[in-house]
Amino acid sequence: MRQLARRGFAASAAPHMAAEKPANPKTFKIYRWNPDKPAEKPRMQEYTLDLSRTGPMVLDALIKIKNEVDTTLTFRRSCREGICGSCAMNIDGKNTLACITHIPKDEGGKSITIYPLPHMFVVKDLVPDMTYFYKQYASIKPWLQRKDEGDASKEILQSPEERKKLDGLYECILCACCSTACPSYWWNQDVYLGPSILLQAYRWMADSRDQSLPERLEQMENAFSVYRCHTIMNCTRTCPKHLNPGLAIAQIKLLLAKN
Amino acid sequence: MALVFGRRAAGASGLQRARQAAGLRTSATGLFRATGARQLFGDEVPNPQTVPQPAANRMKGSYHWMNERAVSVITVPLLATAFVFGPHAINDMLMGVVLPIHAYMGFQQVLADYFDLRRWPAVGRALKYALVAVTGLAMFGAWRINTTDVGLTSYFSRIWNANKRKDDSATTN
Amino acid sequence: MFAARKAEAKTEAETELKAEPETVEPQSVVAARALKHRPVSPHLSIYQPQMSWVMSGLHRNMGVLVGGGAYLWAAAYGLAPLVGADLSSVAVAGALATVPAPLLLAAKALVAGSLSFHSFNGIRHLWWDTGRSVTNQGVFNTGYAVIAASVLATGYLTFF
Repeated sequence: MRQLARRGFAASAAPHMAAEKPANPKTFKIYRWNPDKPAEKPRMQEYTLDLSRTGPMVLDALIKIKNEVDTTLTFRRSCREGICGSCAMNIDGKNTLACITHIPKDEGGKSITIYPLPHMFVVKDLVPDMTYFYKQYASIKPWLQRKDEGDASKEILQSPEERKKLDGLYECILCACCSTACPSYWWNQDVYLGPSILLQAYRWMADSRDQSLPERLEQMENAFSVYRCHTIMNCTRTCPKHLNPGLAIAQIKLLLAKN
Repeated sequence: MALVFGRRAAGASGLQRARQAAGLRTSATGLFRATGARQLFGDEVPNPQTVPQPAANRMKGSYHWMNERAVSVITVPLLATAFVFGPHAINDMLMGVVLPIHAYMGFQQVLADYFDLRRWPAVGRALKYALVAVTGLAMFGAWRINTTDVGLTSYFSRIWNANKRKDDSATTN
Repeated sequence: MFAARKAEAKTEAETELKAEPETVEPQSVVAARALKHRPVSPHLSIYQPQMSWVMSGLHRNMGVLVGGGAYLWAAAYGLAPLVGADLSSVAVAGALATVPAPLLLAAKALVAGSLSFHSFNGIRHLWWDTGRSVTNQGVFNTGYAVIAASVLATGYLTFF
């Protein structure tokens, strides 16, 4: 008899009785700014959604708001699985990807605040201007540079240990969550490269197949490109892919000191 | 639109060119620039068109970083000696030199972060000179305390314990 | 009824079409105006206080407090003979003895706290510079160690 009593709820309930989900309202406070009316200051707009009828992630809520409540809400999105980096934004004070951030439920009426990535020029609503970020990425020459051409038909060999050095570096999706979480990047965005770009710079410094380490290090020999980092460590704390830009920057500094 | 308010002065700085490129106002000549205060609290200065690549200079790069760490590392045993072993002439003399250098380097970083010359040309330069002046004065003051007064450690501990009872002054240093 | 609604809609559309040419600006003008006035997204005011940047900010602020204070004091000492002021230990100690105890205790706590926190956090920074504990867990562990050491040192220095 005990065994029968342990049947699951789904097996014991009648199939036509769909579970009645109670309404679970959640308020979203979202940063809005309209470039068609640029003199108007940015403001926070509130939307309330029934979480029982919304997907689990913040991006689901944003899409639902755009579809059903306010079509003018603007944000970037693409893969909805945390690999493209488009939906990077500041949710509840932390930079993360909206598509892999669960909406906190059962918080007793607390609202969720959504801002664009901090200290970036705003194109519209939650869309920051990423142009300069990409220019900084290009400036570190993110490609393999070799002195000798060698045999172009053969692979450049690498041992498993050498390949392991790239783990934690190549997975970066350039979402800019870490760079825009860094106070030094906030104050000196134009000259300080920021944790995201520096992680990628280190990725090429650490690659055994790359032969231009002296030139890459030489690029960092000034007061700003790397040395605005004061090990604040907001970057590692916020990375949605669980990478460690702070450690990469520390390694760059050690490489610079050793040379 | 970029040419409405300012012609491109011959000596236009990169900052001015950036502002012109973005269609913001620049002054007609290169002499009077938009003040730093507006840049921090008013219109934000747009990013430059190209990522600046300053000339490689190890004195400003890795050497400066290493010097900072070296000075910080030396500061630790100096302070520890002062706290644990009390006043010592050589320790006081060294502190009078090393501590101002450490403070100078710290303030240099603060200035580079918030008052760099590219955004605050006048105020930044003034603060730089003020920092050097105050550091020099502080070193001089520390030297005077070490030579004409009781020495840095004793000076500090006497002021620190100024309101203590006088009868347990057997170990006063 | 349906025909009436359709006629209504047609006249509405006509009036809208007539009104459009006067209110629409070319997109280039709108875009240029937006570029000039675009805001910077909020940063300090909205970012969640986290151990990482709060402790770093405190490190800098306390360094400026202690360092700036010591600077000004030492500079004042150096300039004192020019002004005729006496900043010798005897004079200052005598003056401070008259200050009420709670005020003095508060000032001592502030100075001791700033000095000890900055010193211990400085050692934490030097530890990080060797490449050790530069992880989320490392930041937490070393951070709590620094806070504990600072509280103990402040208590000792203030009251003993």
